[in-house]
Amino acid sequence: MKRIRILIYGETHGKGLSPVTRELVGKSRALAREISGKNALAYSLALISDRAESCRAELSAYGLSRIYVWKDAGDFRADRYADLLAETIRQEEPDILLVGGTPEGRSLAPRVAAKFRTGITADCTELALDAENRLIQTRPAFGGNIMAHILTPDRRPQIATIRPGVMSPAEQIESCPPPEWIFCRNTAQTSSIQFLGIEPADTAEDIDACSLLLAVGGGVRDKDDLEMFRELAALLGAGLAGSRVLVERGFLPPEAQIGLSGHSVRPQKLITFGVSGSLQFRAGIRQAQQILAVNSDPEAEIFRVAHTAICGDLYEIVPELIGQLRSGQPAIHKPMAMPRKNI
Amino acid sequence: MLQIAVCMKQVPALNEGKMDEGMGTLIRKDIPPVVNVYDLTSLEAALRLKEEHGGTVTVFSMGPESAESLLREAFAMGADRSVLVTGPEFAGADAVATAYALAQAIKVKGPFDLILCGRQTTDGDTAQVGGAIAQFLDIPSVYWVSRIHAATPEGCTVTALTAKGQASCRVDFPCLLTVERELAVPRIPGLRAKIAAKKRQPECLTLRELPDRDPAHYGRQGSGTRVIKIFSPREPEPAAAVSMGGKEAAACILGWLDEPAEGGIR
Repeated sequence: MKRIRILIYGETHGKGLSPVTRELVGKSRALAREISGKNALAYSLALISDRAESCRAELSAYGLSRIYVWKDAGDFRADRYADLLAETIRQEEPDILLVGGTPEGRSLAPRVAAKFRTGITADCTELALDAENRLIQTRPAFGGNIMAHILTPDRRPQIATIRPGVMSPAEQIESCPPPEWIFCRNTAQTSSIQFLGIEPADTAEDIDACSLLLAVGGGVRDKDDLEMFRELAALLGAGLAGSRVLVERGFLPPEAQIGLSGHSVRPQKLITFGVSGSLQFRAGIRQAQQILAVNSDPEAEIFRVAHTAICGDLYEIVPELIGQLRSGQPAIHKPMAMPRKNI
Repeated sequence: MLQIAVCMKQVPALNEGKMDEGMGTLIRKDIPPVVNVYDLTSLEAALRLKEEHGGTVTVFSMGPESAESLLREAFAMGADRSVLVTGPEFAGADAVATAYALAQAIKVKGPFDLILCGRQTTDGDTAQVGGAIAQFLDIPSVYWVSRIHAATPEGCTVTALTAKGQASCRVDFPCLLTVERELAVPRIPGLRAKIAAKKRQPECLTLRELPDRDPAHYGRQGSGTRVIKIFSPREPEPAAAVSMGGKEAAACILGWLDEPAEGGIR
């Protein structure tokens, strides 16, 4: 059987590789181990960056076959980078192109798919190979309410963008054959997009980007009570969001609303306080990895989706939490084992 | 004077998946269609640019004839023209095939200075159609635009999310932007505008009227992807709620925070 080729679109972050690039390399290597036959799958990397040198040692330890480096391409511009990535695809002729589901990757990948008139699957959370070594792409749709398996049976490359943070990053291998480095000449035309600069960060936090998020709901009685949640969020380094009812009461700005008519959030951990958990709210938290819910009503709907459920009074619990965090003392009692759900 | 195109989609109202598990398909029956909420923002942004600079706003959609109700809603909000790309050849299109059909329609009705798309739809959630349209039209695209600061006849300055944070970019016309919901709150059309919109007919475009009339480039035939299975994500067993006082609950929460966030997406 023909050798499978994967091309990974690499991104750098600061001086090193972007975490999602390590995750894509890790997944490619896992797929290579899965399929029978030695050297049945090769994975290579395209890097449009001036930082390739500073990642050289790391990139040499991942078992990559080839590394294509494009220098002097300037800041990210979707049209220009798509030209360079397309040129790499023409050289490498991969069966599969993997792109991180980052702001850059998700704006770049559909342009590349259109250039090759091939299939693209966005925001995949799992990848596997079928019996014919075609890529089975798993992705959520309808706000995470359904999952789909998607194939690109005939056209090549099969293009997938992968959600950051869901796949295990590659580990470095002690002794692996060094990759072939290919330094490409930058042939792309100039873009009519001009990068002017980074804007100072807005004080309003982006609840979509938080890895730890607090969500408050109708159980909060008074606008002033939000102060204790702000303090708790600050102590934990968490974001603060809420359900629609709090936005309607004017306790929180619309940017902080979770749910069907607000944001779909995807934190690693979410704690809800006094959120009843309507269908509309639950649709917005489907992509949270772990959910702990606090509500005084043991029948609250939110407990249907919570991994850990605490029936209690938030007005007792939150001040206690703040007190324990402020004193910097670990909990006196070991936390009791909670009913954890296998998911 | 700006000539602005806005791409919009009709989607099922609930994004609660009602699944036919046997067929592996979505049951769309009884789910009323609505305008993709993200597209209302892009239409609002277009209308504001038109109000400031003059010009026209043309709305494009692809779908069955029932999607005319979407286009009437766009008329009621203030769109000047609306175009429905419709016909059996377009059915079953994936993101790239949809973008190709819309790009062809935009070519027929253009030229446009600016093409605006919503961030994503609420049914497919792919956020891919905009970028593919831009590629098919061979124009630059900027994604995740949260502000449009200034437009001139030559181009516009925008704030958009990048890997390094929010950045400002200057982009020449013609170009395509996909916009975030915080950019603008969509206006609610008044009753009179709604009644007036009922009398207006969207323009329909069929395959025969597009520059590329090869049916193999559209719809399911023109799509590279195939959905082979649809299923409900595994719901966790409902967690038994444990009653706790303040101290105990606080300790439990702190312990939970120390655990790794394994488990992944359901």
